[in-house]
Amino acid sequence: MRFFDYFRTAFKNLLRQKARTFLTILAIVVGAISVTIMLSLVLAGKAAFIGTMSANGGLTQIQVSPSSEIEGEDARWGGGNEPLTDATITSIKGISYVVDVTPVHDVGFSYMQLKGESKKFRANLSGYDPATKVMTMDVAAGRPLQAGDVAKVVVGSDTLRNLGYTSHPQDLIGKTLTFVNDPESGKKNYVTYTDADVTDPPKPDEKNFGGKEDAGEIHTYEAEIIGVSTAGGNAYMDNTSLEWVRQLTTRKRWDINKENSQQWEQQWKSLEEQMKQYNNSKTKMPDTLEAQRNQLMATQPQQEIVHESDITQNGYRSILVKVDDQNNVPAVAEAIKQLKLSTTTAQDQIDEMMKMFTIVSMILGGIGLIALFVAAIGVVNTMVMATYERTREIGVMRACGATRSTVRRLFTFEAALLGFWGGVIGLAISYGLSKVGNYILNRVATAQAVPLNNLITFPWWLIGGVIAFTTIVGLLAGLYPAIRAARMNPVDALRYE
Amino acid sequence: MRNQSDMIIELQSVSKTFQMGEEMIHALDRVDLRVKKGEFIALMGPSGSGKSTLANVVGGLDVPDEGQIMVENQDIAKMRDRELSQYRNKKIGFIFQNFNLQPNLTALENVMVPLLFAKVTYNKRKQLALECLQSVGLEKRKNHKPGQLSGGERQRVCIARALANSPEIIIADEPTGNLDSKKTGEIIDLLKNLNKEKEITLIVITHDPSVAKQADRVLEIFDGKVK
Repeated sequence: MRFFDYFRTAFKNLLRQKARTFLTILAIVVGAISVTIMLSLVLAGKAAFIGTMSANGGLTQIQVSPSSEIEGEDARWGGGNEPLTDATITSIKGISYVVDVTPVHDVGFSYMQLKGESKKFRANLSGYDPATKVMTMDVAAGRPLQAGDVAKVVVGSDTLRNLGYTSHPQDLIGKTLTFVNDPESGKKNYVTYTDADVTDPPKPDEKNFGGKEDAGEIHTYEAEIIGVSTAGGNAYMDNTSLEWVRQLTTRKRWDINKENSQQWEQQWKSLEEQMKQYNNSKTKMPDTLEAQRNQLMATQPQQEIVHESDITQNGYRSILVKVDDQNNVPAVAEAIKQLKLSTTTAQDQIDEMMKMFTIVSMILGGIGLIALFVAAIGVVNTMVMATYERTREIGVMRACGATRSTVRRLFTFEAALLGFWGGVIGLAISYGLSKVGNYILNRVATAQAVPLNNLITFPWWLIGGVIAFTTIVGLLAGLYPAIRAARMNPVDALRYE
Repeated sequence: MRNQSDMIIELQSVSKTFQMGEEMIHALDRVDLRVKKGEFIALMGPSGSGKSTLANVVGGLDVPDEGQIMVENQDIAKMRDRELSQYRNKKIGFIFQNFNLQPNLTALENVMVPLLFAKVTYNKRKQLALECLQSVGLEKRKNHKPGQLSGGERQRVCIARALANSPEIIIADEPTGNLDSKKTGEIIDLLKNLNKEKEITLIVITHDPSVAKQADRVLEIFDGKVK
């Protein structure tokens, strides 16, 4: 028999018992749908996760933090951990495959609010150097940060949602966000002036000589919202330039310059010493000494504004490293660890998640496989029935010159065709279901400002794989009945009543 | 001694035994038989005498336990399934008492079945099958399914199917057993025509003496032995 004749004959035979064929295929359809939906859900989950991780270049980034290993005897005072400094950055830059490095520093506030509105929100402001090529900040609206930006903010999706602009993020662009340090809020015991304050703290009078904290005053810092980041990376962070964070974390207060005052006090002491000797010996002080004294009195160090930078004193909170290729991330991370620093990579988290996805897909796939197995039993049943019904026909076919293998192939083909149609119809229905699923997911994703569209996909390998799989399941299920049919003695088959 | 080439079928001490419970039934007991090309042979005998078994082993549907069956100088008793199937396909046409037509296929499609296994292309199959239906006078009924045909018409479709691969031997197992006497005459006339015109060797199993009368030779079988 020619190949196409097998197809034609099998197809015709299946149409003889339409209801039974339909029910048998229906069982395979259910199996195919469950396998397809399970697999595509896992694929969608993977895609969503990797999409989130890779947003803003996350897959090629390494986050560096001070080592958590204690080198001194006591870590209570932060001893042992080398702060992250510009020197650290320089040494990381020297590692091969490293494209660029940016320090990251964050700053806390009592709260933040949209200018002109009364609602208060938790503020998480983090600064990085926009001049570096580390963060490829994707924005849902507005623009990313640029070199030279000060008091400009790209808000994350969490803030976007809090402010109630999820459905129209572009309307947030240009609005002003006010960051507030309020001593009354209880979050901070005292509030100081920083470099970001336009005004200087008032010059202290004699009573609070030595730079007493200017407690009790509310400090507000205004920043323009220039962009809204997509939901990748850290959704809970609002980003600004490192420069502004540097200003915000640099304390500004009146104090006497310590170096100058020490020098002056030494001079004053030695002068007093000399004058004491004259007094004791009751000899007249030379005029020069008097003049010297007057001059020293005039140059007595005054209070001036000093700047105390958190970054200079304690180092950066963390460092973000951009690696040229995802494959080089582990090597770079290892090299950074050699510098006695801690690293976190997206790959670490992805690896963890992938293990979970594999387990989930095995469980879900297993459920689908059970459904298909049950369907396969249905195919066996249908085909065994068919061989009984068509026993005489098999006899006629043999009498007309069909070999055993022709009979076997014909029945196998019929069973495989059941599987094939089950797979095709199952895929078609799954496709429809995925359209509905995507419609719902897209709405959810839009509501969350997640840059993911049509999450459930049907890659070609899935389409081909499911059809091939159900066809093979049908074929295997048809083998036993087909072999039975082929083994029939033609004489007995022709006599069968 | 006749010329070897005149003989299309030569059986030499062919035996076939069936086990029925405890009993051994000698369906064929060292049968020797020679059939000339173009001969019309009627096989008669009581049921269980072995006439069907004889027809089946000659037709390649069954294999004897012992003996030689030479058909055109080939021993079909030694053939394997593939060769034997090909032999049935090319050389033999079977006609059955109960017609054995496929109910879901039209008359034309039923006639096309043997051609399917001969790997003939679809269009050629259709053409050949139509010619066969014409030769049995049923071309007008080609699109009717067996259920829409009378008993005589069904048997003619069955004959057309047997003719499809232009066989040299037609084996008919009680072809008129389900027909009335008028239809019986028509069918036998048709078979005799084919026998004469196309020189097809005809082996007909029958209980009907009027059918046997038409044959060139009548063989009677008792307990697996040919008389």
